[in-house]
Amino acid sequence: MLLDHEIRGTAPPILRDGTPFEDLIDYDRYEVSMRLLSDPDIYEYELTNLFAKTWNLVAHESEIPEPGDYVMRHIGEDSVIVTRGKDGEINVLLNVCAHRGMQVCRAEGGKGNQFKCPYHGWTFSNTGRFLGAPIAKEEMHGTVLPKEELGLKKARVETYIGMVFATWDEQGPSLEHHLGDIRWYLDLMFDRTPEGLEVLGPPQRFMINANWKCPGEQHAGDGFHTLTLHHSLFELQAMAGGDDTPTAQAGLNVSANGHGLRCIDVREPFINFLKDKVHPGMTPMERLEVSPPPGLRPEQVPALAERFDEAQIRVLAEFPPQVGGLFPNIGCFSFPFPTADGLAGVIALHTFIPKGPYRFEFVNWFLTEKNAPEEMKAEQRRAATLTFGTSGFIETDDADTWPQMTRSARGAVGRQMKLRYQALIGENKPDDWPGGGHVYDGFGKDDNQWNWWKRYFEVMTGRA
Amino acid sequence: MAQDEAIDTTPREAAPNQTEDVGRSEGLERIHLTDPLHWEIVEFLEDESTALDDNDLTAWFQNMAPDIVYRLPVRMTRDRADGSEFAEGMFHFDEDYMTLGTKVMRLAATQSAWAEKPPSRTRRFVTNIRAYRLDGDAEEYEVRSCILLVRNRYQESDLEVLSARRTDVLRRTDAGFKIARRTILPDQATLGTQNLAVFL
Repeated sequence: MLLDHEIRGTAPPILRDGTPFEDLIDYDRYEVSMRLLSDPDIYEYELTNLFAKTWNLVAHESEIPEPGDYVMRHIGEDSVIVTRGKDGEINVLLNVCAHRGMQVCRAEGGKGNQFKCPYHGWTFSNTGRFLGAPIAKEEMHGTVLPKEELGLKKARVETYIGMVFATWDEQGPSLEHHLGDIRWYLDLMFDRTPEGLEVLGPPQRFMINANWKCPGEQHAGDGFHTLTLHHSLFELQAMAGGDDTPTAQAGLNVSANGHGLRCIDVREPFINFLKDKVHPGMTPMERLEVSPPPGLRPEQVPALAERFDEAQIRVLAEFPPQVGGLFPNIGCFSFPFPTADGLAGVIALHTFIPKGPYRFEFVNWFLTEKNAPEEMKAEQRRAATLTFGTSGFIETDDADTWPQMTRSARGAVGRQMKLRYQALIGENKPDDWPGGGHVYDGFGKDDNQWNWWKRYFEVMTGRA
Repeated sequence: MAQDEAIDTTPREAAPNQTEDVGRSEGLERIHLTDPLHWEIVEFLEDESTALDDNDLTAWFQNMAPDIVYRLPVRMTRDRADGSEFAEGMFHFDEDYMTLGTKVMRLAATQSAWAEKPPSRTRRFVTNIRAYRLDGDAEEYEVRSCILLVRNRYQESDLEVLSARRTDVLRRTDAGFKIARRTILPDQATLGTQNLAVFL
């Protein structure tokens, strides 16, 4: 084989200036080098060693409900087409014509059972098979390779609670193995009914001039930044007649395989709407009936007892996982937000798609229960748009922070500075905590994010 | 091996244009440029966008009717046959009076709205204004315009640009025109700005 046919997974042992890659993390001091946020060579290694190897969230199943539906997305910098074939199966196809490399799909979504390359007309089915080229009798694909070898390259696909994941690594672990112990918690956030979730529409997409790892590590568990970066929330609370005490810091941070979630302690409700409705003596089911999981209606609560065991119900009622991230570049959210009339469930997924060392695309889906009434969906959408994504009053502030971290990392001196994760709880899982993974009980600290970086180095150096 | 499917050569017809997708209003009475009313509307829009350029958000918000629907839909590149590029259920802005007011209050009155602290320098160029008379009890006009928002932050020398077409509903009240509806249709499917902590 003369051509570079495989995705190479070799570790980056030595960087261009002679620095061993492994020297960029100090396990004893809980520090990583800021060079990780700006080095173009490291970025190239990330495309091959990380994004081409890991499970990437590319779509939600509800975006392509019917056979023939497709959306165009990215795995790293590779454009892919996510299709639903006639058999209902989901395919993820590299959007590169097997002939001369042209993109065969140019719309970002729509309907089509076939993709015809606009350059020479090679045509592919939505499962990736090469169907032929114009002037069939001239056999313009030649006789060197059989048609079966001229299809669009297919990624390995797995779905979980509606999320469509893809990887180029045929030999790597299953999605279930990749998610590991974090699944138990994700079920509580996103898999609460037999019908499941659907997207409210195509995702918001916008560009941020920052390294993708800034949001990547933050989402693993950084609750601390909310006190300062998102302080305006507490100021607004005070203007509305409440107090400006920061909330949602207590609870448990959970972490598995670099994924991280924050299970917020809501036993003493901090949302005004719930303060006179939830009392210490209530059973978990009684709590959930007055304060249903985000996006559920009270009448849907009794059925939760059939879906989840007693331990899960207790976590859902007292320490619900609400915010977090999946390694390496996914944010996930399921939390109640106070509105004029009560609470709206904000359910969101983000991906941070790399576009070079200094730029990424922010992709933001909002979700709702499939059978939610239209009015409820509209409430959820307004609450989500108010808080998250392009114009949300939380994430607009994050979007102004990550570019400056990245800029700091470009200076000859700045890139030698460190990101520090030295405020650690250490594992202290309570005896009666029913969930798995690494568990850190108390005011949220750096443990989850440190685990994110450890995972990053494991994957980048081929140890995971 | 499964039988190869035939190559489908059937041309797909373009879906009909949605009202929002075109610059003209069909079937409404145009208010011509020779009509003083046209210039009254132009004056309103110019004053309104100047309040934003001046970062006087509180004054700007006075222009909103209490039933304002302020939206900027998500856009996605599509073939003509697949219909409108604009999403029906997903927006970059999806605001009513309460949520728009909250966003304005955060930027104007809190000490820690870091997204605009220090504030961006912005300039709005509002052009191609075409107004139409709407039927109904209230005195209302549909106004279509183009807006070019130019934004600059910090020491960056590059200007960020956001170009869009807007469809407004203006209502005449005792206190002058109020915006009852604004739909902003961006020219980018992927917005080239880090956030919309600014309005247009």
